[in-house]
Amino acid sequence: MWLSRVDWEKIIKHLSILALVEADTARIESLARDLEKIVEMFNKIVELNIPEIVEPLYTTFFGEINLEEDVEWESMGIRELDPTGERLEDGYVKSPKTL
Amino acid sequence: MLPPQCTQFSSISIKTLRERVREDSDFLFKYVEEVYRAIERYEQRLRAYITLRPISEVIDDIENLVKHGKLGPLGGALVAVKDNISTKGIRTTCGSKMLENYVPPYDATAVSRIKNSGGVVIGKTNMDEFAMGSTTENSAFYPTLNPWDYGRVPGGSSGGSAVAVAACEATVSLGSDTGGSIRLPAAYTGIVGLKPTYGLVSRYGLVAYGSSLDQIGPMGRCVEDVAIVLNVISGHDPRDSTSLRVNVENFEKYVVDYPLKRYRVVVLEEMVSEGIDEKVMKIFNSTLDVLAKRDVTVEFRKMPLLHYSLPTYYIIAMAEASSNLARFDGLRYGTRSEAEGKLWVDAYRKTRMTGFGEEVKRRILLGTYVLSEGLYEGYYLKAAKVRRLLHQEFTKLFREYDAALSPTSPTLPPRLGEAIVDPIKLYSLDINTVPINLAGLPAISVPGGFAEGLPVGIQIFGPPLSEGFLLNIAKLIESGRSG
Amino acid sequence: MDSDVLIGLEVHVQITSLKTKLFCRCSCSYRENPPNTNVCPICLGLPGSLPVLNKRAIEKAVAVALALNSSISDKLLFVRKHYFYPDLPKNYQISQYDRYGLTPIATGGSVAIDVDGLNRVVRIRRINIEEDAGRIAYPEKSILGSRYALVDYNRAGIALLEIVTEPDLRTPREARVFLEKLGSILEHLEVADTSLEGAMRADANISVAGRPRVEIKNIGSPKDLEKALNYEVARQLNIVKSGGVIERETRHWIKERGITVASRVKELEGEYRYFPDPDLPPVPIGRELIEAIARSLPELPDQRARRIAKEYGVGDYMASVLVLHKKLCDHFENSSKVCGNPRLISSILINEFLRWVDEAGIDISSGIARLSTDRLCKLVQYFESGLISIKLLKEYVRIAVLEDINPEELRSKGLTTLGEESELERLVDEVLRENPKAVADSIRDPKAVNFLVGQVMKKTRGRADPKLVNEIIKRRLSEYGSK
Ligand SMILES: [Zn+2]
Repeated sequence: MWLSRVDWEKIIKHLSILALVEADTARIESLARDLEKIVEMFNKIVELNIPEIVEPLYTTFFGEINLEEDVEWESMGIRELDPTGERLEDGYVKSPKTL
Repeated sequence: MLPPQCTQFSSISIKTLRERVREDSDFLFKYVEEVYRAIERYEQRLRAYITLRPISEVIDDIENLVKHGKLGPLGGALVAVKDNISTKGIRTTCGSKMLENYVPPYDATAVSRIKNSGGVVIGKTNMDEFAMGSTTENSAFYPTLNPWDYGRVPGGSSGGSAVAVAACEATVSLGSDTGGSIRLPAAYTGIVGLKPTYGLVSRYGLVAYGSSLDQIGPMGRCVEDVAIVLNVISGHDPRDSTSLRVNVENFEKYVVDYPLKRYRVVVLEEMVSEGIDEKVMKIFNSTLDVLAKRDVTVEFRKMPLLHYSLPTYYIIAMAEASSNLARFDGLRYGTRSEAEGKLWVDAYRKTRMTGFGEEVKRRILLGTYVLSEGLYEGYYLKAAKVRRLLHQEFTKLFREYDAALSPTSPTLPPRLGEAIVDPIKLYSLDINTVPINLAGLPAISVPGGFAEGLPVGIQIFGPPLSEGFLLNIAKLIESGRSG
Repeated sequence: MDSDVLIGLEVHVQITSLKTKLFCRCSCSYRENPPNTNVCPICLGLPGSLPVLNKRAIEKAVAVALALNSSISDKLLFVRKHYFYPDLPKNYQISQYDRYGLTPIATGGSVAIDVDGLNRVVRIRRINIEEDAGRIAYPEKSILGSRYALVDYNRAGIALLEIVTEPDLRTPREARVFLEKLGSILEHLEVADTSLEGAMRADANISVAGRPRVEIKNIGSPKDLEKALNYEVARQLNIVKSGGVIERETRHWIKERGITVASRVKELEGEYRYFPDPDLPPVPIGRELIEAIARSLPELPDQRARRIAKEYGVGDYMASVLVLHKKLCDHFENSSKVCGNPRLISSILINEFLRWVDEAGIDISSGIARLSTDRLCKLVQYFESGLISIKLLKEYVRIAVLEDINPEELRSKGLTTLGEESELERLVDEVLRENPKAVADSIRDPKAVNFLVGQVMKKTRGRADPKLVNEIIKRRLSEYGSK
């Protein structure tokens, strides 16, 4: 998990593809430096020894979860989100090309 | 003590407001004008708001409340709402270019409860972009300044909500707290801010940052105002699967100037040791003296696991953030780039490149990193396990104690530009607040006094649903402090 | 060659029996509605919206798990699966996962199929509950050549079950029968109407001759599944024969052209960054609930096949084919009750009806509307009374299904009349008039009557029932004789 800055620039490129967040080429070096520092902070817990039996905790909500009845409500329709209809064509949302 | 922007009139509490309105039906309108006078004079410098509603609209709303006899428990209070809480018909930017023109078609549950209880939304407040930051300097629009010292930050990410209240540009406000975002700015601006037990206040309509950590909470100039707003916004909401089914108490009855029980409180040594400013410690210790005089027993304990809370918190928060912020692609709402001719990935990439600021990108990339194949177990899963241990430790701790105390922030409010240059330094401002979110506990920050003319906040936190006692202890500090 | 083919399926089935979506209460009836009318902040993934699980979806999923003999998890855990695509409002899908200590709603189980008399058992790997994506349309009616796409989110958020098999299928035909059987099970459970367009979709993993497996996406029906796999087997065998290399890849089935094409975006595949959805805490699945659902399970295809074989005496194989389509089986039982002769009806339905339904490109329901119990019974009645031959009966079924014509109306087509005695009598009289010598011969020698029968059959182009023709001629001859 200890990586050089060159590695970090490579990782950033890969992460950019996954997250569709482009790193500015001019800033990639300082970004790499920042990420390296932060991950170094993260690595503190990597070294921590935790017994195998400890269950991960994903939420601190321990109550009874609310479930919904299968009864229709009145939907809002896309126009309430886009009153001018600038994103729409025949009621469809216009999107870039897909494959 | 109030900053120079406030007048006696503009700094009035909700309870007083309610009383005065009963005597003089025009009082409310005079009050609104007084608040807007403060805004006119100071807002250009302070920049607490991103979107401020015109006074005419606010007056209309109040006239409506008066006409229908619906002034309710908030009595026409002007509520500033953090700009990551959805307001129907009022744009909700999250402090980001991405949502600069986004107008939600629905109200967050907390907002509709405010409206139904005699509160009027006065505007939407500035914040660090998507609540990612501790200084409000990461707003895509402009930083908000600290009313006590224009050269300093107000804390964040709910900096706008804190300053609007502190500078009397609103009666009370709503903030959101993922790792300290209500408490830190409350501490830095000398007001009271409460982060409720996870699940006490509905998250429906709160634009998610770290969904398992986020809570909406009230901010006010006094403990009582905070209790009144908490009464209004808390309680079960069927639209939030993480909303607790509890019979909400009347929190106002805890806001009394005497201890409701013989409190045993604890100070965790890790929260008062390394990196704590001496001036902050002095105020903290004087606060302990105030409490001691009210028969509160204070003990010291160690919790070494707290050393791991910062990485644990940031791993979980960033992982959740990278997922929560995936939806911002510019297609259905928000900043968009031209659809025609481009492949969706290219259009999305362009939207996200220009729509998100640097800190947001940093956290999305890191969140993506800790969730990626091969690293998940080492980072995210491991963090979730540390979280379990931390939760267990707190559960054990609060079998012995009613509450715990710490300085809200290890330092006085940083100067503008001072903290954000170094991400680790920035993240360290949250050292005492993040463990509380990891464990889902309630916490309040209450002013403990002043150092060099700057407010110092005291954090009180306790077991789940102990808000009542926290408010009582906060009230003891509020009425007992010298400055 | 067949023994070298391994096929595994990932089947996505909409729980069409639900009125509302999986995490909001928008209507599921997207097929009838204009685009983007059944949407709300939740299924559009608006900032701040939160999912709340549909209670009935759990019950439906449990019923399916029981019917497939899968073991059911004691809790329901949801995860987020991340990928960017315009039909996915949050850019993550709420789904389930089986690693990192997480679990889908059910694992294991099996489905027995009878493929042309050969019994096979297909193992189930797991069952997931997840949400459907929106629907993408293209302005040029085709993905190729369109400069942009159009998205309808009415389908987004509809409850899906993802049922994954082990690679136990050996031929495209087996895959088809499996999918039909699975569809039939879901219909018997009243979970889904799989005949609805898009209600049951499959992705197939296929490996030929030990080569890397290829995934084929976007297959809309059992029939298309067989076609797509036949195409793929041939394509891959060709590559193998010519010494080429088969790459591990994802391909799309293009129904209109009957081919599969390689998917072009490889860089985004695979890394879905699954993690537990913090908006949806675990939902316990109680033993009592499972037992209650188990007690109320309806008769399933296998039980039904055994009952039908016994009750109607149609034979095991016929019964196993009938139960592959619930509606067909219902039609069989209804019609058999109304007009008797279940053997004839099963043979008509399986050997004739299904073939023409396929040919007409209609679904079984529409086919049944065309060959209703009324019409079917009329045909059986004609046949039993000797009015029509088996050959003509088949012809009637063909015309009824392809052209939706009532048997009675076929008269005007010059076909039905042949079945009716009066018309046949007219033809017989004609033949007798034209062949006075043969008539005389026949009166003397009954064996000579065969020539006359042959002449009548010739006139009817073989459509008349020879037995009936024989009877009519004999009757006429005896009338002549008595004169
Ligand atoms: Zn919806």
